[in-house]
Amino acid sequence: MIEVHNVSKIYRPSKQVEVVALHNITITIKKGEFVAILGSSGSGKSTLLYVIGLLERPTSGTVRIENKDTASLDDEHISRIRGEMVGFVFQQFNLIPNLTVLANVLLPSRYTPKPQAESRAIALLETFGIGSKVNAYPNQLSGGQQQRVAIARALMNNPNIIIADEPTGNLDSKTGKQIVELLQEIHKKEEKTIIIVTHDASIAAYAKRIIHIQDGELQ
Amino acid sequence: MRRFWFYVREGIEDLKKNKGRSFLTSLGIIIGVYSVVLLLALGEGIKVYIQDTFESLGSNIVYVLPFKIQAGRGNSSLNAKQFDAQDYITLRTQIHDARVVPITQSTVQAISRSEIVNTQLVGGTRDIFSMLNLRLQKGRYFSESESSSSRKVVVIGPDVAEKLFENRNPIGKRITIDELPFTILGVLEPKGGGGLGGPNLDLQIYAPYKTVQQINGNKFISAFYVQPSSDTSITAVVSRIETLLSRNRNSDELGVSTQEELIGTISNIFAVINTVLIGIAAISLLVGGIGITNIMYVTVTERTREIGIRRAIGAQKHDIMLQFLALSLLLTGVGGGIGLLLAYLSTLAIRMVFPATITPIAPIIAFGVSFAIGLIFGVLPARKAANLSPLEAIRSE
Repeated sequence: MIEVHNVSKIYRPSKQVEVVALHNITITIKKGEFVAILGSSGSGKSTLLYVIGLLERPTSGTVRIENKDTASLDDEHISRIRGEMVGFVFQQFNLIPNLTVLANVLLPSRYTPKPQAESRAIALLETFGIGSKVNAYPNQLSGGQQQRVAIARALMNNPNIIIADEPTGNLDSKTGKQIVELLQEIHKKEEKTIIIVTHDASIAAYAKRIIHIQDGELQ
Repeated sequence: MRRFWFYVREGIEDLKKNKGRSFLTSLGIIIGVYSVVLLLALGEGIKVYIQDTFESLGSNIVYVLPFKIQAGRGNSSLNAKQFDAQDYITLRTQIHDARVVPITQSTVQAISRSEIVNTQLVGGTRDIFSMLNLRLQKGRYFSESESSSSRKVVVIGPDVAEKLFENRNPIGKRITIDELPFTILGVLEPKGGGGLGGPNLDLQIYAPYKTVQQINGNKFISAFYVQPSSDTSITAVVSRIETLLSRNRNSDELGVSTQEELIGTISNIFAVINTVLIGIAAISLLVGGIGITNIMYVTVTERTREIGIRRAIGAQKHDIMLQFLALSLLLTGVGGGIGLLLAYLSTLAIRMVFPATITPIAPIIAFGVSFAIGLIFGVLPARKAANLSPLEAIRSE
């Protein structure tokens, strides 16, 4: 369970300028939910996602993950929770270019050691139909394949929460559909909490719940 | 620790992908370590060389000089109060268990019928040959009576023979030294020397000391070589000489040194020079270190996004810190290794002409210094990497 309570996020790019990205947001996402955060660009949807994913700290308000208040935790603890409980999927895939597909998928287990990491990584890649690309480098793969590798990486440490920031944004609509269907399948089979940010209503439609956000406020 | 090795393996992959840049970055360290290790090897070689040179001059000799030899203070050999015949008589009559050779010296021109050579004329008694291990190739030494009657006879070094007579036999031939005619009695075996600006022992001419005094136009003796018999204590002879000669000299007008002391003093002078040179070479290590910092900052900037990704998937600050420290340690470690290898190869080449030696401590110094530089000059970029905001890093282009 993720509880976001009264969260605001204010950026100060310079002394005179103040940008309110999130304003008093309160939401609760239950364990195993598939949620889409829908909004236009600049609406604060990505900021909300990264606050939930513990990559960004709110200016005020609290984020509780499985009843743990994260506000008081130091960077080391936050990093550890991120490594164990959250998997990230990005619009730009964000694979590390000079590591092989396998090394990319294994990377989370380097920071949060898991038993039999390698066989799990290979199994994940095979499930996603890219078992033959284990030793390839990211730039040798198509966009759809790269995003599958990224999803395998997000699942590597078996986290409860998968966070996806415009995961279809860099893909053609057919491939994008396949990727979001893959996420849906993971949600159903593995009962993971999936939070997806998108500006595309047809992608958001795959989710069980849609949260609309505009100008940093829930609609 | 296990994770650290993981970063080292990743670092090796990174270096392989950027071979050219890695090499250029390490170049400062390569040159620095190379020069430091090579200078250490040369310093070691100088010690051996001085030792060998002195030992080839005969062992167990006490040198009696009219001035004190001291490292770190200019000596006053130019206005030294030289010894005279009375000093020689004192030593010869009062010290029974040792051989005493008076030494006189002159820089001269020796002329044969067709050639001229500039050389050092060394005067002594017949004992000088056995004392300095000077063996004959041809002819004979001058005798005691030829010596005491100051005859104009010489024994010449092999290089003098070669220069003045080429392939002809010089025995019995005449040469002119400072316009006086001399007869050549013998030619010595080659002895070597002449490196490092030291005297070429094969280019010296030996004559009775009184004859050299005539050429010099005075009755002075510039030094005594004293060789105690093998069952006599050297220290006893040294203190006896000091007592005898200090009666009419100031303490800084007398230097009685054993060979070991002389070797020590001269070695110390070279060690000081060597240390200064190593200090200068170490500056290039500093410059190399700054190069490492520079390129590590560039690397951190280039890989900002990757740092953000790693942080997102669970890397803690110290993971990122270690990753970049491992990279700079690899750069300097490889640089140190290459520098050491090059220094080793150079030393092997130098050994053909000079006894340079790589001591076991050299690799320890090379890698110790390299890793220290990697650590010191890698810390700032690594800290910058670790302290990046993960989200900003991911969003950077």
